[in-house]
Amino acid sequence: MQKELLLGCRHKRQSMQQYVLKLLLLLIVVMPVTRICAQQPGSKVVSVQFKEEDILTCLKKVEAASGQNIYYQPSELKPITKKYSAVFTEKPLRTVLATLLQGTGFEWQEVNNKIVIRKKERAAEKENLATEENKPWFIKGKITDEKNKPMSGVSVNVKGNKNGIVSGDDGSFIIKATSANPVLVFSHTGYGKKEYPVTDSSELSVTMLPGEVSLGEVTVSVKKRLNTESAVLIERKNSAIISDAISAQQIERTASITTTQALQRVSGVTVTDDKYVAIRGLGDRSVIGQLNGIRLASSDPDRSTIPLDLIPASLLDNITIYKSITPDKPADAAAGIVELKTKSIPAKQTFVFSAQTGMNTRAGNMVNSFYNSDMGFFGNKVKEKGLTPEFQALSAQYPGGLKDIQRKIADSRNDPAMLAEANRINNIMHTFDPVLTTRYKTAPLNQNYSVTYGDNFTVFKKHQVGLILGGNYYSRTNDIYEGTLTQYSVYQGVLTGNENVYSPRVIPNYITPNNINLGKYLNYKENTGTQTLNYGLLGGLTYRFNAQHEISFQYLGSRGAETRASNLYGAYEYTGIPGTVKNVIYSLRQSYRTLNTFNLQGEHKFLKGIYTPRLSYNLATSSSSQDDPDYRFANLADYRPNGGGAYTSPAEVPNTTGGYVGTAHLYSLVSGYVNGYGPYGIIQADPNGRRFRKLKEDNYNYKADVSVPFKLLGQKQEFKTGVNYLHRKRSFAENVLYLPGSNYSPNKALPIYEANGNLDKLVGYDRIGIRPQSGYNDEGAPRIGGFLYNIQKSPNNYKGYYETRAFYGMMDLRLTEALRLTGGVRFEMTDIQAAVDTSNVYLDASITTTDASGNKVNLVYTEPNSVYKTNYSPFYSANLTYTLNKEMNFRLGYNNSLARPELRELTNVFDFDPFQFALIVGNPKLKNQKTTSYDFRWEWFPANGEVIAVSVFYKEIDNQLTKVFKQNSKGLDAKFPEFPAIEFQNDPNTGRVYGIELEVVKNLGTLWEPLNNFFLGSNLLLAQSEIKKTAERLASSRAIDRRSPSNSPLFEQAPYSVNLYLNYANKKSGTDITTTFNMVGERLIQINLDGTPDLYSRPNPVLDIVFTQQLFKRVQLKGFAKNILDKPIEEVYANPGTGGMFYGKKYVRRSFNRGTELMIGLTYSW
Amino acid sequence: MQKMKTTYIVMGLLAVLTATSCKKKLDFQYDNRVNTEPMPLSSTRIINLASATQLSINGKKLTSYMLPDIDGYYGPDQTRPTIYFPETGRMGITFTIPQEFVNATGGIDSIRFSSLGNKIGLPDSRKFSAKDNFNDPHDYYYIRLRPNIGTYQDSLVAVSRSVSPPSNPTNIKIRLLNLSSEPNGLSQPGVFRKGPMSLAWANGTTISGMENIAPGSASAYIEMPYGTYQLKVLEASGKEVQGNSSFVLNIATGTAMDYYGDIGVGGRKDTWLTYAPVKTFQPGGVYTIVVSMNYDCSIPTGNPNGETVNTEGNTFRIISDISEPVNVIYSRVQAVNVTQGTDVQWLVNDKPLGNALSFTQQTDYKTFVTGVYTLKATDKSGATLAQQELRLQPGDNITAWLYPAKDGKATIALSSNNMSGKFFNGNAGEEGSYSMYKDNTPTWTRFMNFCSELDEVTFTTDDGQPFLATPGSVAVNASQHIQLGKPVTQDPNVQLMLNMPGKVLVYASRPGITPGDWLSQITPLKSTDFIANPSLYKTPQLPNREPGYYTVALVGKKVGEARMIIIKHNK
Repeated sequence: MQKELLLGCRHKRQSMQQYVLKLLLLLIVVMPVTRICAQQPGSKVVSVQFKEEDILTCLKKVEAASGQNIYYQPSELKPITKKYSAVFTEKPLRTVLATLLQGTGFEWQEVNNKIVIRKKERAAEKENLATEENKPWFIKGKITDEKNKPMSGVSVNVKGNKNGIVSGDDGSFIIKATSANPVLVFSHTGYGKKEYPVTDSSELSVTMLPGEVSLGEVTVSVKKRLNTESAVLIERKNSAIISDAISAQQIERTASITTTQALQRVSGVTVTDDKYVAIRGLGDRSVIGQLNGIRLASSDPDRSTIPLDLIPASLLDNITIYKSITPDKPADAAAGIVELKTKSIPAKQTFVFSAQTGMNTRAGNMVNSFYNSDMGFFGNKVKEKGLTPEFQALSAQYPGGLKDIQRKIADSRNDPAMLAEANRINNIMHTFDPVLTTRYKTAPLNQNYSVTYGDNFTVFKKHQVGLILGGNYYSRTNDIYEGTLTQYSVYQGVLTGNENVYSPRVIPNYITPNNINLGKYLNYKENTGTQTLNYGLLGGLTYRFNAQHEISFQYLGSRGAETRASNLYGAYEYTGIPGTVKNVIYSLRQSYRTLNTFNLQGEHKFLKGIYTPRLSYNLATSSSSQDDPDYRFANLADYRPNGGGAYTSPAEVPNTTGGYVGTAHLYSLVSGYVNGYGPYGIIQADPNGRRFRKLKEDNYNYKADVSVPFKLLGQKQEFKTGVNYLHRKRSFAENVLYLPGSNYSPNKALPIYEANGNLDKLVGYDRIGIRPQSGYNDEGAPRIGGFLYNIQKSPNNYKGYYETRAFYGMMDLRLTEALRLTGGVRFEMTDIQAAVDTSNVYLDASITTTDASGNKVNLVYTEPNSVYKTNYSPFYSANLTYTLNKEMNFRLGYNNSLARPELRELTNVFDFDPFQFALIVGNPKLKNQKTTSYDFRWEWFPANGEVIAVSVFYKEIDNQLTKVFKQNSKGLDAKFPEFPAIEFQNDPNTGRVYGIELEVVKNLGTLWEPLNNFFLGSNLLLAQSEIKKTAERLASSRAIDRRSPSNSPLFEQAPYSVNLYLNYANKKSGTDITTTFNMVGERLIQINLDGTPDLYSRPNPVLDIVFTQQLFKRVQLKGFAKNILDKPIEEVYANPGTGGMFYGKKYVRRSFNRGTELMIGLTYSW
Repeated sequence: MQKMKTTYIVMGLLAVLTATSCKKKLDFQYDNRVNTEPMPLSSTRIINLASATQLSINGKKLTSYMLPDIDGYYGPDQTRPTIYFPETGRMGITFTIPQEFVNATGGIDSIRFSSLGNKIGLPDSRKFSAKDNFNDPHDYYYIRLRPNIGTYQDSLVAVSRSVSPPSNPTNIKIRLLNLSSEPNGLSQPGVFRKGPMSLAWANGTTISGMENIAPGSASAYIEMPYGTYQLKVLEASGKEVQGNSSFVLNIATGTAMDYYGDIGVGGRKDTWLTYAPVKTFQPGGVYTIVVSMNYDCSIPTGNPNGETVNTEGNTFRIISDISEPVNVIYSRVQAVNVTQGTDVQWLVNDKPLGNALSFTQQTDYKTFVTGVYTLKATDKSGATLAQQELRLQPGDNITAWLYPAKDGKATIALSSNNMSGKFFNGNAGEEGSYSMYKDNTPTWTRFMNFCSELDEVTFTTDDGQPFLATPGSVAVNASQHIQLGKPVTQDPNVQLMLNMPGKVLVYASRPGITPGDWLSQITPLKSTDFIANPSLYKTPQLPNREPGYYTVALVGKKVGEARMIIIKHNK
């Protein structure tokens, strides 16, 4: 029983089990109690007395005595002249009503727990004249709030019907009804749900009351519905802390497909590479991603990122960004929390299906791809490309490595069993696609489908079950065709890792500290095609025992696959050697990611009324995985010496030298070294190869909160306490299969000559595995094993876990009606441990082989195990909100928080990442970063759906975990390409970020009548970040540029970001058009340590148009054009704040056009 | 109104789509082959036996005409490929003239050879012409020829060549072409072979139809089964003609000098052997063995420092007349009877393999198409003694042995013979393509143990010294702890140096004990026992041993009766 409820979690942690057990026991106790509490209105027992009173007075008395609302039209009942005298003691309501209505021609009915009195004749007519009764008619009305102000955005439904409308700006509505006595249902977030029986066609006047009213109703709707902009604004208004949010409505208006796309619209949020989220300039570890309150696992092996792009935006109700935190939130959200709320359960049956198709203008119908790149409709074919179990078993079968297999192949004529084994291995080696290059292919049209279904049911008479099911699928294609990529440098030369393709590094003598120039080092054209597909499934089940007790279960699963084929071709610009050195790079990458989240939530109120203690808990397990099967990378330098060159062929006869073979091309698969790491102070870095990576992370998150409201100072106060347990378990496995012709192989580039530099031929079936018969044609000659892929794991395999435990206590105090103070303390501890798998891993044979004199180098792992533990330490936070009036808040926030090193950052492995062209190293010495934040915000909500806000924030960061590019360069003496190492360090200098955020959301119609249908939203972030450069970084930046600034902006921190949107919504014509504009300031994206200036990305204006047009009653036409301006995306070598210049010149590293994405489709809702 | 708006939007989007999606995208591609266009070839070949390095035809330079770095030495900077000679830019032995040089009448004019070296210069370049005829393809042998008309010492000799494969696909076609020259006053008589030549097997038996081929003439092509042969060319006196090699020759006998043998000139040792390559002649191949005069006979000058000088001599080469076929289908099997006291008839798929064999006898090789066969050994009465599956791979050379197992039961052992001279050097890691070494004078012996009383034996050379694989490293696998009836599968051959002396002794070893007890009652094999036909050697002394591929097997049921037999696998 326990285990089932724990959703199959096999996690054996004693304390946790007890904890869960207690919660469950509580549940079991609570459940029967809740059943007893529920009562039907008719069975309510009343004591009432009538003394010659008319029916209207009597009914009022009954209402007062029973606390049960009775609905009726007084005008209808007035004609009844009958006077009543009776005494009812402890009688059921139905008896009382029956007595009252006897012989009046009226009857009473229970309608959804309400008592409605209506004419008997009408009911009879309804049965007899059904056809006439079903004739549609229109109900008009106006909705006002408690202050008699018109309320817009209230959803109005006819009960039992699926269609509804939303009240207009003046609070008015017109809704079509088909039955004679329809019951209208009004609902609005923050307000109660109101049912209103309609008996005549007169105009209705409905007043909505805020707050707790909704608790009295027994209708399942998962807490508040926050899927509209105005709803999230109200949520913001009432929140105790600083937050920003984006609703499903806005997600739809921006046509966001992935969550990251939607996030870009939130003020203060910047998104890099469509994946990495930063809030107010702090990214990665400082941003916590939560899905329904549960932390999301990272699926990136090297970065702590939240797999937001895996979650289809269409399955979300809203995204809230908490920018200041309270003790009930994780303390490691130094920058903020991205809280994703999946679709809530609807009040009525809903079904929405939408299908869209379109294309990217740059991709057109062609995309750069490669042989056998087909992912399958569901991406399953990517998953299948992982290493076969047979291949993985080889390393255990042949502990001596490939040498043993080569010998087996050579000897395979001598024994049938050996022959069979050699052939088996040959077949295994042939399972890898013999392709390293990319080709243009026909691209399918972009597709996007989504379907949502929701309903609620009554079970066991009184219990309510809500159900939501959502599915989403999209497949998209992007293509960069002939983008440019230029590496500038103060150095010139050709370093490829091979002495045949080499020209020593020089700084040209026209470059001096007085005349700083950058020269082109490498210059490429870029073709990169990306095909992405993603699908997700959301299931939510809520079980409500009664108003006080509710449990819900959610599942969100998603799968994503991506193919990325990149081709760079170009040349070294200043070679200093006779002839050209061309360079071609291919990168073939496919990945498959999964995310499964199971979430069990419960909310229990122990008493009725608003002063009830509440228990809410959340038990979640999630698992995520990222599979990068067969990520191929090849970087070939092709030197064409004037007049040709020659290479040495291997000797066939022992103790002789081979001959020279002439060639017009000299080749090198570019590889280099990283200085300063590893047991010998130098690490080989060969980007060329086929990499297989598999990351799996399991996440167990359990939390429980208890809040106890009480009355003090005439206000409702609340004390809240809770516990949180998080355990993340990760395993990472990697195999690196080197390519033939590697500079680190004994024969270096030799195989490339045999393939004439053709990279596909290099890994062709005739070179991989057993060579063809022609290679060993002589009678009885030993068979020749050609190239065999490395069977051993890379030394970068690790396992680890990341555990935090926390408890907190906080108070939410309303000191006066206008002043609210929320604050408390949270204690968190950290336990991060990782162990590197050192058994049976691949170590370079040239180092580890026993030499002729019997010497052998024993590679010693320096600290394969990393442990980082801290005890519970306190984190304080306080938020003060002053509500000037209902529309205006002043907020002050203070908190201190921490950021923890990621598992990978602590783990002592050295993993060369060809994608970043750097060695990713671990640093077991890392410790937690501490952040102190101060926030101030002024918010004004002038009208429904409108906001004007100004925020100021300041953060001080100690021991900042910073990504450091380290390069121990040999400078001009370098003979090989030197790659930097990327390491995380605690920065000894205190980092500071401060900034201001402005936000305006305004209905333009209130300013000028003709703009009645226009809505404007905008937000702007201005931030300044600064960190002192470390000594080595400063030294290298000043190697040439002696005026290079000593401070630098923080990594990936933009000085500004701006979002604007203009929405035109014409309800009459059913047209909704949204134009959005987004631009992010320059950001530092790469730190160069060889004297070349740092890389910055340039601001890029993005303009999107999204439109919706109602075509038929249930069908909408939707479409969008995104990135209409299609300005080139640029990365430049620059100094900060110079407009992307370096001493008056613009050095563009990379420039490409992303293309305009066009989509059009239909939505059917029912 | 509403519909119109929608229509506009759709049309607008379609317009954008069509306007932007038409750009044609091209792949980045490159092709770095030297010759990327088809080059149709004529039927005419040039066989360059005179060591010309440069070639021009009709005024067009086909080679790179780069001067050597040092005389005769072409370093990396002198190696510049041309599309005709894509590897080095210099002439090799054979060159098929491209069609583009053949004129309308089938003539190939102005063929000029030259060599840019000075040491052994070619005669002054002069024009030759050739005639291309697809119906009668010719090879033009460029040789030094003496006597010759004029003062020229070079000649382009047209020889008709067969390009049709042998009638039996398992056969080869082979002929002997004698283009030898007469000696002059400077010729070393001891080195210089002359006159009519004959082609012989390794043991000196001449091949019928190949005897006494006069200078300037060629034998007819004859067919023989494919296989690995050490074909030798004999002059009329029966002396062997040197195959083209880098051996230093004994001035008096013309035999090769190497590390083992009798003390000779300049510290070198006389092997009394004449070099002849052991080569696999592939099924369907057409070969010409050509004798011609070359300046490649290296002789000592007499200086004790070992200085050598090249002299002329008639040497032979093997020319493949069609490109050598890849054998993807045939394999050869022979069988031996090592069961004492039983006569054995071998059957493959119930068809006899050779005649019935008495103890220690062997069959000739028989060619089989690769596949799976049933190998059976029967006694005289036809009763099956043993049976085994025989899986044949292309190019396999299998010896089947019938021996008594420890329990006396007749058992079949299969050993695969490596007849290529190539061996795996054990250095390969991920790339195995460059880990094959070649022994040009293979003197390889495989050891087998068929004495059923001995679980394992160890073979040694003189005084119990182990056989060496390479200097300093013992041939452990090949010679030690040889299990009963089990062929060694890894490094199975003891690779002896050419002419290496030394006996073969056999020891009863045990696991962990090497070599064990000497089985003194078993007569050791002398190295000269490996010489098939001592009368072949017209030398002052016999060589120590002959190169070739051998199996030495210890046979006999009882230790007391055991003896060693030698099976030579190549002819």
